[in-house]
Amino acid sequence: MTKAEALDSARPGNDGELPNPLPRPAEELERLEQAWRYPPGIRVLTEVNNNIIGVLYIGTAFLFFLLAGVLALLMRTQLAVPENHLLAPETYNQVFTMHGTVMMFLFAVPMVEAVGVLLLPNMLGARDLPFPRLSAYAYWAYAVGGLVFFGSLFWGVAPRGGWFMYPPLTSYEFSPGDNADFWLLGIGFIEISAIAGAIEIVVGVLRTRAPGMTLARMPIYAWSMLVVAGLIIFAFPAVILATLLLEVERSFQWPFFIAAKGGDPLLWQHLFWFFGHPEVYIIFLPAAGMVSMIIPAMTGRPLVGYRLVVLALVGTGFLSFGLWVHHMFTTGIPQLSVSFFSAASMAVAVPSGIQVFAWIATVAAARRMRPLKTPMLFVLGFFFIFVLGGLTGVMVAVVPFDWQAHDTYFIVAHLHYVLIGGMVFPLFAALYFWAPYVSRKPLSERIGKWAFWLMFIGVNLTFFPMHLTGLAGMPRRVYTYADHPGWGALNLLSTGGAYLIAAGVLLVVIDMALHFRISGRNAGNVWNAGTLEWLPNGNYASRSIPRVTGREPLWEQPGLPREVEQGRWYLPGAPTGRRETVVTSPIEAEPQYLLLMPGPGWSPLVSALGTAGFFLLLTVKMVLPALLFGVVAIVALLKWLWASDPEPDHPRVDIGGGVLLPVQMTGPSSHSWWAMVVLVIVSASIFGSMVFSYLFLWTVSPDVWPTSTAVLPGWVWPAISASLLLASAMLVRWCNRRLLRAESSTQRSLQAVLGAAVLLLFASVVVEVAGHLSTPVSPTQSAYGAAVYMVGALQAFFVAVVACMGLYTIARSACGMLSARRRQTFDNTRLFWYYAVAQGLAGLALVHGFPRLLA
Amino acid sequence: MHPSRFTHDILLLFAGPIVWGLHFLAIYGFTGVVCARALPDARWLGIGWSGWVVVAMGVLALAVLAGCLRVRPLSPAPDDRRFLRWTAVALAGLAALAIVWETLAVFLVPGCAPGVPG
Repeated sequence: MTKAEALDSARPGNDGELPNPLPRPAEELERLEQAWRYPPGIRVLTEVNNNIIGVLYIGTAFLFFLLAGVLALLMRTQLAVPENHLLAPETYNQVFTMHGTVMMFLFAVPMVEAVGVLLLPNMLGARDLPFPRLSAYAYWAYAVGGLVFFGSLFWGVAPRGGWFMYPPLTSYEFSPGDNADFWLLGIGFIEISAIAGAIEIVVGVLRTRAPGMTLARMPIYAWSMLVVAGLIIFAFPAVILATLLLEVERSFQWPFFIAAKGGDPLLWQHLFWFFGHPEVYIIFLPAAGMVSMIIPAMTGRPLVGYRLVVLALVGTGFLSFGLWVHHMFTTGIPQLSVSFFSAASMAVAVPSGIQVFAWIATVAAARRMRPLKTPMLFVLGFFFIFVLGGLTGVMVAVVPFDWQAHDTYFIVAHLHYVLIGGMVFPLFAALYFWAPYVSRKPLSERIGKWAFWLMFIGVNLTFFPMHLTGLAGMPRRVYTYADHPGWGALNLLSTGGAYLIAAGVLLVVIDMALHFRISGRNAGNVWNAGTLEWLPNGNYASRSIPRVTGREPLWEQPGLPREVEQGRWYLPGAPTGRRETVVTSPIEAEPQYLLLMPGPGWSPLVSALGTAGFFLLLTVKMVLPALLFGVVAIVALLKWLWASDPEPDHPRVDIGGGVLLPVQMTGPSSHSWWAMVVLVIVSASIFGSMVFSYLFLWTVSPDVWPTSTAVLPGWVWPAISASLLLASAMLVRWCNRRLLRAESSTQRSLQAVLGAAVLLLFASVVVEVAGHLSTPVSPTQSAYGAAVYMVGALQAFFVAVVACMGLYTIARSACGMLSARRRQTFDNTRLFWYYAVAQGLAGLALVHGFPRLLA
Repeated sequence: MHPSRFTHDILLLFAGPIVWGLHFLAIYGFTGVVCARALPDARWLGIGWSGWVVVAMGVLALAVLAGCLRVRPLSPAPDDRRFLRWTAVALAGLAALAIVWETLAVFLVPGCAPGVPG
């Protein structure tokens, strides 16, 4: 029987013949449970399984939601009456900055990734996401770093420049002290954590779906997370670069944002909002994905217009990048440019509208919706609040209206309607909907309904009056206000509403304390939902991995839960004795190989502590201890990497139905190659943001750019630097060919050549910097000098990373852990190496070529 | 699946939005530089030359979109091919709408006048 025939015979309907016959061997389940068992006692902290990490991640994000909510109450109490002096202006500034920062960076983004980590594997039919240690690392770095960052409030050193941190207010002149640094470096670990999560999600969604789960059958939530991961990959690099530039300006006085020296504060706004606007969709699209899962389950109907919703998710994801200037309509940008963004802002309403109509159509076709359950109530609340926020969004996309409403409470009202409607309500719907998937008992319907009504009335009471105060001219970010007619009463209403929201949230917390229990067993498919996460499951996810034939497998294949639990589908045990999952092809989802996954270990936790410590200690200028923490992080990371890329000596494994899978795979098919490709795209996005910054500064300050080639390094410098880069790439290419020959004698020469290639890379940076040092241009003198040296500094960083990877590869070769078959480490190093060389060449062309074009 | 087949199909799927993104970058970058440099603005039919360049970029982008839709998915399964093709066409339609919408601005607002309240 061929593989294809074997797969077909496993489809339901062929006389009930399933891949694995009954009875299953007695020890099979025991072996599976053993492989996925949690470590006992304190060692549970070393667990990397998504079931534990996902719940911890969600719990921590929810904690930050509560903490930021307390800050909101403080603000609303301060603003309840005119001329109030409860909070000092300085404290108020810190409170509103931290409220926004914590809600966006420590609650919203981590929460959407956390829900993804918890739900995606089971929803896709995988045992876990492909890089469990990366998830654990991302979680711990975020949890530890985030809590310390929040603690800065108690010492009065929290940032106070608004969650958008506009320079020049936040530059060294107007914000001395460590407050702004806490924001800039303090969220470094969030950036790292978000990127790590995005890599995990892209590779997980594309490569670990259950057999038969083609792109056309993928749950909408998985689509939304795929789009969101794409947004993170392209949007976060802009803010990573922005924070880097501002921190360098603050620490070394390189003038990127100082107008007197050719910099421009608008550069920050461009970079920040290029991240900041997609960020809104990074938050909203997963919520939309959850709603698209909840409505079919609650109505008993498949989602109407599945393909249209996919179109809407992808379309919104892309168009969201064309909106960033709509946060900058009053900055004096040319009218035509502003109009492009206004048009894009309206265009994005089209896909958003498509989604809303698809949901309404599904609700209209409902088979079972009454009595209304709590998740559905929150979804209906979401409709109401989000649509209102969307409508005011169209209003502020109209440029002249925006000029009137800019920086008033109208904007505060709009953004809270969108964010609370678009994310918080769906999240509470999801909490009530998916709680039985994790908890032994569902949450209480009665308490849930009370919570909903308190929150729903509270949100409208808080934020609707803000439209009016905004239109009446009340500016945002003021710690108090005079008793203008109407302002006081409306503000008092808003404050009352805020306390109602708090009461609703408190009820949810009480509900969770009373009913949420994790004990290895869950409440099961209480909503009669149709997707795979509702299969009976344990720590190992489902007992066996089914082949799916539709979008709601549990509805279309009624015997599935029992068959899966009996182990009649694929991979019913742990044939290698380790944690493992099936890697499938990215479009048709046909099994390709068996991925061996790591189990518990201290390295992710230690590495995360090192990372958080590095950034936080750097913030308070404790450079040496920070470096020590950095070293700890890298050593722990290397320790965990060392155990990966094992010898693929395991014979092929029969997962049932005649499907024999290899264990591990190298080259472009392997999941680690895919992760590396995503990392390369992230790196290219960071570099792209740098190129934009260079060109933007030139457009605003051409006077600081050289007018003759006399102040540029001679051609010989970049020529030598480029030659060195190319030579290093050639040496790596030679190593690649050498490695393909399976002789062990090649290893020595391979190590020597790779070492030489590392030296060439370093030399290329030294030559480039030496060239610039030979000119009178300095990085502190003008925005031109700062931009030139920053391109070099960025390249130096990448060279350092590649050098570490090169030395690591040499070490593995020296230990006999590199061969023609065991070559993932080398392949990944090679890919990143080529990228660094390409980036170096592009940087040289920009820095040396562009001024010559002008001169 | 061979990765190149995946790359082909995924690029086809996202062709519309990718063309839109490149078009958006081009018109925004072009307008930004033209306005920053205050280049002489010869007018024809009431629109400056830079406006006509933006119109030309819109037409070019629509032509590229039309060209992309001639490409067929490579996935072996008919279901996948239908899904990929439908989604690619629909996304291209959305991208075309956004491109037309953005280009229309040329006929409605003056080019480089600063967009701030007067």
